[in-house]
Amino acid sequence: MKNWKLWISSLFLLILLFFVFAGPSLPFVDSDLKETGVIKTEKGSFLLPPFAPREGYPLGSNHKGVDILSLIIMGAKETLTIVVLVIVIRYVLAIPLAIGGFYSKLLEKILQGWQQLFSFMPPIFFVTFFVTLPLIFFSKDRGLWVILILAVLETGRVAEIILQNMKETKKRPYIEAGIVAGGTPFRMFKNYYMPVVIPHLIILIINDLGRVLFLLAQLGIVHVYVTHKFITNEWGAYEVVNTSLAWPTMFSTITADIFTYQWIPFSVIAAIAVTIYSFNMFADGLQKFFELKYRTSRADL
Amino acid sequence: MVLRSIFQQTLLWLITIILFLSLLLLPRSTTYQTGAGGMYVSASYNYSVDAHLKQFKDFFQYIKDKKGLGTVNNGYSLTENVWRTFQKSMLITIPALLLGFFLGVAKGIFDYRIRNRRGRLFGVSTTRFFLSIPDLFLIIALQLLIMEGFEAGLLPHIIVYGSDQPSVVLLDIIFLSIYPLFYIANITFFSIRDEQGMDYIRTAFSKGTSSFKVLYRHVLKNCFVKILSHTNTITLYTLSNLFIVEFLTNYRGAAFFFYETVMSPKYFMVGQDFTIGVYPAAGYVILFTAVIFLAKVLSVIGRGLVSPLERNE
Repeated sequence: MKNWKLWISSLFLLILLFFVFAGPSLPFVDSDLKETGVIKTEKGSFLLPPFAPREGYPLGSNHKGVDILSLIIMGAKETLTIVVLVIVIRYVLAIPLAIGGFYSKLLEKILQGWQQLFSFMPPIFFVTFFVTLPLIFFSKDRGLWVILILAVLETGRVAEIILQNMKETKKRPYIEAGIVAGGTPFRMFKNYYMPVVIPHLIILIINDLGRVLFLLAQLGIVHVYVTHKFITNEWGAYEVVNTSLAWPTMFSTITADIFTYQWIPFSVIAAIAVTIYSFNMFADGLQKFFELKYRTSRADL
Repeated sequence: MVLRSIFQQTLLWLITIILFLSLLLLPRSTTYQTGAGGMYVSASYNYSVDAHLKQFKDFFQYIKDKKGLGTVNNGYSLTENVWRTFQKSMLITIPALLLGFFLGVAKGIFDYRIRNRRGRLFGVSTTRFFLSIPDLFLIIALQLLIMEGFEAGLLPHIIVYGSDQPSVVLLDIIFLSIYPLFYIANITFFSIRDEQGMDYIRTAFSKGTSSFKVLYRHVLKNCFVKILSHTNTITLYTLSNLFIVEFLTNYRGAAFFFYETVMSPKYFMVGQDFTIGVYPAAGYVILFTAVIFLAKVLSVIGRGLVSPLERNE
């Protein structure tokens, strides 16, 4: 077990994937997310939701009497879909920008401008502010807008990291050897740069998965969710409600819950923490794996 | 070199403010499409450059007329109010940043010195561990622990929610400094490791300099260039986290009020216009970006002081 981090985190992530796809059909998961109004105990007393952790509710229930464990498992798919979408959009933009920036001065300037501009905006600050614009608030595709904003927010940062990595590679002696040997720019790119950049990129992407999930959790605390719906209430006004199952939505009542119904915020944050930790551990493990494979690790003097 | 980058950052800061203001002053008039009985069907939004420009004109006219951002109910002028809440936020942000930075460097050095000795488990592995779990989890867990600890009679009564209690200020500083501390510790550890085996270290050792002196006088000086280039990341993160911490501890600082001014409505009526508090929001935008700007300038000056000539690789 030389690389235990890789093994343990892979196991964690496999379990997570298992829950995402097979979760709804597991015996202990209530896939209908049934609401329970009241429970009669053996002593004859009545319990009102939210129920503390007890038989049938291993992690307790929420305010509507829905089992939290089932909620977390059923919400995993949606949460991870959002995270993956953000990452896909971010890297589809960032990778061409970084590679373009490596070869063209103009694109490099654009990239740096992008990165510098967003480095003046705290992410939560910017997102909270952006989603309230009527254009986005009422949009039918609000979810997509929010995902796009989350993606663009750090595109500059990741593009810059990839570009730096390529520039550092350029300084290494073997690149010169490749040029001397008569490598065309395309061959240099494919055979000399890519093998170094790709492992680096994979680690970056996995670390970023954790970062995005973390940002989503933070946004959940300040009531910014990816999707929402409008429902009329009894006074004829429209209430903005959340119908999504994504994990961060369970933070909506955190400031009240933390005093009395601690299990609601705690189970959710624990689920998020474990997922983020597995992503980060997986990235660490992969880094070690690549270092061992390509013998790039530095000896400790 | 230093002056030039300060000039560049100032320019960028101004561009950011202008961008933010134009987003803030985006005309927010919405047209509602209604169905039978005035039921909400959808809403559309029409942008026009003229309306946007008019918003800008009104904004500057207002500031000119009121000689500030206007007044609020509680007797303070809005400018004072924004400034007061901002100071409150800075009361927790600045100590948290300093604490995170210096303790982070200390932890990084500790991690490095202990890496091959007994107790190395407390070294770089703990740093990696705390970097990998979200600090949100630590914050909530710590709050719960303090409350449970009091109920079990293990801890004295510590107030974890509120706006004026010293204990909350202290806790907020701790909450905010968690991530910067471990982030800087990680950077410090790896930059010290990168210096290993450099020629100047061998020279220093061969002259009989003690390892303590080599580390503090020679190695760290070179590391600071790298560490200081990360100050922007931690400032940005801490400001972002300020929203969460203020929200979770009910601390009424600038982030809390900024959130209140731009928050999306929980209810709306058909025909309602989506106005936000443009004036306080503008004040907060300028102040928050100013903090980031200052952090950048300090880092540039710091780097200039530590190494007047950046080493060419």
